[in-house]
Amino acid sequence: MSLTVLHQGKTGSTPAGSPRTRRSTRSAIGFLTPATLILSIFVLWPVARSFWVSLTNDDGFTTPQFVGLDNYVTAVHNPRVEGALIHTAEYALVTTPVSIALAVLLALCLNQRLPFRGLIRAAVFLPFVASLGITAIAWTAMLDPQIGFLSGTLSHIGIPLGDGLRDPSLALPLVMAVGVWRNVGFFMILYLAGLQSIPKEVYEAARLDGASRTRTFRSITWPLLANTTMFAFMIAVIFSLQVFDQIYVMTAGGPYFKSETLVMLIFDTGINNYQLGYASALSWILIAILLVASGLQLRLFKNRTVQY
Amino acid sequence: MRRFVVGAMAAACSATMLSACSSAPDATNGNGKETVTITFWNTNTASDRPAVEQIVRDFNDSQQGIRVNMTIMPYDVFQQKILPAYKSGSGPTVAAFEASTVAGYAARGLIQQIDDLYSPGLLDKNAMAPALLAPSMWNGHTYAAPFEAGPAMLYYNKKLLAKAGFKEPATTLEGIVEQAIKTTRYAEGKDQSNVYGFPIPDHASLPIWAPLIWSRGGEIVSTDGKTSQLDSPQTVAAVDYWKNLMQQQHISPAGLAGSDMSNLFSAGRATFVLDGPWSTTNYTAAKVDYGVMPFPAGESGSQMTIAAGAALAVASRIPNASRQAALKFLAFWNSKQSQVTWSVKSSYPPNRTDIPAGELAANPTASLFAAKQNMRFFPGAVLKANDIVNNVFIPTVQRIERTPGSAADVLKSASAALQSDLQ
Repeated sequence: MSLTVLHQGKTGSTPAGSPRTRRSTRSAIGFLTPATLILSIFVLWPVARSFWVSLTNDDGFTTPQFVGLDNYVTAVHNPRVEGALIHTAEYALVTTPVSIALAVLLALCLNQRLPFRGLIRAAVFLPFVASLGITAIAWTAMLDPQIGFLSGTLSHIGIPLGDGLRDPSLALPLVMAVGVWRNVGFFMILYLAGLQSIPKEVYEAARLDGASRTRTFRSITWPLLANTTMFAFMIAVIFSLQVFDQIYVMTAGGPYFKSETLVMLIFDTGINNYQLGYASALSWILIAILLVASGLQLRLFKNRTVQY
Repeated sequence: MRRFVVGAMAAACSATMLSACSSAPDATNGNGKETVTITFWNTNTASDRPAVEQIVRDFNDSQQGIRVNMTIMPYDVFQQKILPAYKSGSGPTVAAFEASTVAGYAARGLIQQIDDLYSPGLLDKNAMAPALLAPSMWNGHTYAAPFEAGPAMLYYNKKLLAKAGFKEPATTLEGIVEQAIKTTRYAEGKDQSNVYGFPIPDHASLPIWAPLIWSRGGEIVSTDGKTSQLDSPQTVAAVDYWKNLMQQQHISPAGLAGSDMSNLFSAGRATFVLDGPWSTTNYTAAKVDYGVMPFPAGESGSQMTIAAGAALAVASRIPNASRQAALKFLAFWNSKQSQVTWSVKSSYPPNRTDIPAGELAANPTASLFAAKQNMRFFPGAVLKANDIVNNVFIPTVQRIERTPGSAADVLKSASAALQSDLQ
């Protein structure tokens, strides 16, 4: 008898089909059902439905006709889609590393004992929680070549911004700069948390061994921040691939689509022009890109996670 | 019993949902007749809001069995809500659509034909301004009634003209251009102090490039709305003319939004701007010493300006009682009494041609903008108006403003895109 009890205690299992197991299963199903229902209705069904819509010529008014992969073929041959993809890639490739590098730098600085440290941390983090619509409007006004405070000040010290957001070659870089300014505070907080979780003993051992600051960062801090870096990179890439609000407010994708990203194009196609089938196909292209990007990052960081 | 309770609840829910539908007869008035409530959506969130509210109030006060329930929302919200609302059967009975988009909604069956609006007892078609009727037509039938429309007129800064030695603005387009060049004070890199003779916006504004092209004999879309004329020799010449004035004479910076243009004029840094009646309030508040005149014709073109405005359309698939109520409201909106109220309160010219100038004397701006002149909507009654303006016309103009040399090549490829939108 005691042996049986011991065996059950070790495995923690009950025989399949026993009343207790059935009760547990029913309870589990009961707990899971509400969430499953909500997810099915509000996530899975719309996702599946959008894939079906992407195979039709749905315009929101008339009865949709099945067109197979026509929308995808049109997207592949459309130079505007190509431009939007290039701008999205440029945005992601620039803002992701720049945001992360600045966030690490800021976190390292603001992890030291500094006067007004809390205030500076709050100031850097504030843009992330402020309304993006309002901050984008403020940046648009500050960068205005005719009346903008920033463009005027920079012009006085010999750094003219030209036509600012109206300049096709400057619009995207300026939007990127605002994107970095907005997100860097969030990543800084992640890195601050990461830095504070590194055991002090490791640093003490390095100091006793005579390691320089650079060597300490290279051999201890940066490797032990690998988990934070993996998370921050994935979030940063997702943020940048989904960028919409600030571009909508600051440039609306212009001038002549020079700052249009894939999400902007999806919005314009679906909401302004009612080409719901085509817009859904573009959305699925974006989903595929997100999946590939996340998969690549997971693979890249897979062997770099650390436990301490 | 349980079935009964469930059934009763379902019936109660259905009744609640049905009663929420916009156009069902929903109450009785003092005479024991049913009151028909119609819903009305518009985007008049700015200074013209009180005028719209006043007329709706007047209509409700004048009717025994009809009530208009109005919702005013920003344009982008309207744009995003209208289609899902119609699809779900909760769309407004009457909506004020941007005039050029009426054809698109008509062709898709969302709004209904209202030829009978112009019949005895409702509205006299001959009393309406002809330019306002054109965008409400589709396949030879009326699908909307005029709601609001204003022509762009030429605002001029008297102080800047006097400073350059001009007592009055010129009366010809060539003269205006000459004055614009002479009043421009441009220095490279001095964007915050430059003075521009004629700032020309290319987005988030009235499509000002359209009347600029018309003024030099060019055309964008044929009058039947079927053929692109964007690459015709006259259009190319007209575009090159204005583009060179911008690039070589610096009468305007490139890439301006409508608000940028208004800011420059308000700051006293623009001599001429082509703008609508709604801007008079801002320019007066900014204490600009300005005058207003019709946009003159160029040597090779005819006098024509751009019109901006909206039209009132009635939803499809609504009960006949709601339809009749909606037609009464459309007729009331365009009645003499309402149009005087509208013009005096909003500064827009009246939709009718039979209102004596004296009745608008309380608002001199309204009288000014009501002055006889030719105006057109752009792109007019075409199916893909939004796409043509936002994805063909605006990007093309923006590209041309930045392109050295002739605009011929850019216009040629834009013309192909426009033609595909017109088919």
